[in-house]
Amino acid sequence: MEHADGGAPSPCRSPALWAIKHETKLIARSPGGLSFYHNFLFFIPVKRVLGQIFSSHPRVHENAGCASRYFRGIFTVKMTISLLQRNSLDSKMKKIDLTTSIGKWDLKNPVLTASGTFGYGQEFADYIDLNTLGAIVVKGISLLPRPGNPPPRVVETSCGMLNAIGLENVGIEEFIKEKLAVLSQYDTDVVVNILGDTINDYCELCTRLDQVEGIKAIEVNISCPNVKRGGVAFGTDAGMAHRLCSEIRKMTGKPLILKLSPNVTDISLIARAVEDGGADAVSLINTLLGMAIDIKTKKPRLANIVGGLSGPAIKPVALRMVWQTANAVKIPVIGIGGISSAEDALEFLLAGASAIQVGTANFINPAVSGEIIRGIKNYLLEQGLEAVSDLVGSLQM
Amino acid sequence: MKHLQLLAEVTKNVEVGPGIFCLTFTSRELAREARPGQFIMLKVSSAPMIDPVLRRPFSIHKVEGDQVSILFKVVGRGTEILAGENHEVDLLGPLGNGYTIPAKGYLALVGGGLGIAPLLFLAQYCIKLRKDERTLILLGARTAAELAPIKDFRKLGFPIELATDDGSAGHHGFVTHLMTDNMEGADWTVVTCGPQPMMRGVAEQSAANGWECQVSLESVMACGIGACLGCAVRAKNNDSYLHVCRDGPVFNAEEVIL
Repeated sequence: MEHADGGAPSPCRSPALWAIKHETKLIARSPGGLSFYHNFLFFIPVKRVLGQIFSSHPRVHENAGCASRYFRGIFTVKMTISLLQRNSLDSKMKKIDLTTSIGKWDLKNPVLTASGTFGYGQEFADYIDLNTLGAIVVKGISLLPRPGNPPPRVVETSCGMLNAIGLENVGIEEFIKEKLAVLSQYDTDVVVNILGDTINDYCELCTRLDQVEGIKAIEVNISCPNVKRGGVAFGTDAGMAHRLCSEIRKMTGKPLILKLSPNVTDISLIARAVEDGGADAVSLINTLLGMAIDIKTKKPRLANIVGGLSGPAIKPVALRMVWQTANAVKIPVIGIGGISSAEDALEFLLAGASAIQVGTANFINPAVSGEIIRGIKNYLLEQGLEAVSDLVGSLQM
Repeated sequence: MKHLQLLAEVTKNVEVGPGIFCLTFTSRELAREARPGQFIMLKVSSAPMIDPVLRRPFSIHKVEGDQVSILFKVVGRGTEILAGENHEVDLLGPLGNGYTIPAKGYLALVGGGLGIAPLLFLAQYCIKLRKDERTLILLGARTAAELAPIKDFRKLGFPIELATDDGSAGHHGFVTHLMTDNMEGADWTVVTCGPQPMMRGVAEQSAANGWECQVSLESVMACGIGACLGCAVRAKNNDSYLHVCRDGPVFNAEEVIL
């Protein structure tokens, strides 16, 4: 992934996106964060313009020559224009509509955090303003707590990583009592990712969550590759996926998002099956089943032997599957898979995703989702588009 | 405590032993916030997502003014990049829970191999916190060359005993032998960091003598902030896991199966 031009170290070709990234660096160093930085920028032009107006006043500069006064006047006009331009840029930025919707659920922007990569949200509060996110999708929750798989559970691979965490989680009741209570303090939508071994498990989870305020939607994991009974059976068989979806549909009025496995021959078949079953949306892709071996010990690198591949390595596969699925179903598609930058997110939106989830990238840069939101906004501005919905599925063939 | 995400300017990167580097960078915030035993997650590739993807955990080795150092051995792609020319490092930290240092009583710092890294920062802290108390430093390595970083330990003035597997420096044998020779007959707090088998030995010897023992564990981890749950270690008391990044990296030896 070397830069073809070999020039500036910025990985972004668009100057606007570069500015976003650059600004983020500044924020990371500045104790005041974004608002401090913005106020500062805004304050300087106002002060300068006012200063110029006063200093060019004849009474202040009685001895100044006519020419000098003339140039001062021009400078003042120029500064005022640049201030107005900035204001108009600001107001254009404000006007850009990032909202998107999944069934009846309206999201403030299309950037969500993927289940299993964002903990229960609070872990990231020091690094990113959680209120800015489109939604937080929490770590997969089961009826009872699960201890997870033995270590080693993660291993790095080329441009990605394998994990076999094994759905370690605190269980639904503790989640509601402890974790959700903390998350509810933020002005951000919460999506609960659920998993079970049987249709009954999923039904019970949906029934329980249906009564809980502060949960905007339920993402149903039928695709975890890392446990023997982790729902993946439902995700690889269209008939079973349909049955599961129809059953849980009866249990809740909340938006249901079915999270699909890429480890199938034709993902759009499963997507159509859950659409028929009453799903409000599908999210894809979960991790690709993979493996790594330590040639020194001649043993698998993961205790679970196999694990789920994620990260930039899987993005092209994910993008293709999202595009295929978006063409096959009428319900919204949420794109997941290796998204690490605004450019990646934009590719998924163009391919037909109504929203996207950021996964593994959260591990590397816990503030990345905020950068992606700003990057999408800037791109829309550059493209002269007013709403993110104008972009969704606008792939030119 | 506030967790930071920042870019820090690299001021020094010195090969202190064969393939062992001490990388120093400037960060006033981290120097102020960090406690001995805590770690940072470093991004080894400079651009946002270029391979290798994951950050690497490093314990904090040394803090002097606003200069913070890590000590590492080149073992793979990540450390190879770090050993090269770096102008700045992108880091998260300080992360995890550090050592619990008693203000009074006998304290032994037992390090093995690269595990001596966090013990220097701890010893620096001991100078401030417990200057007149007995603090003993026992360091082991395979060979004398790997003990190059000990000159920083010597500056602090605490008594130091060495052991090497090949006898090229200090006692010919394991660092646990040094415990028998230097510590018996008193009530100690033991803190240790090093290879797992060594720490197991130190923990067993401490338990046999009724000493409190704190172990600093290492693990592969993707995030370092409690989100990925990749860095699991088995808890001693029940059939569950603890996580090195969030519950550790320093544990009481009684808590975990080593």
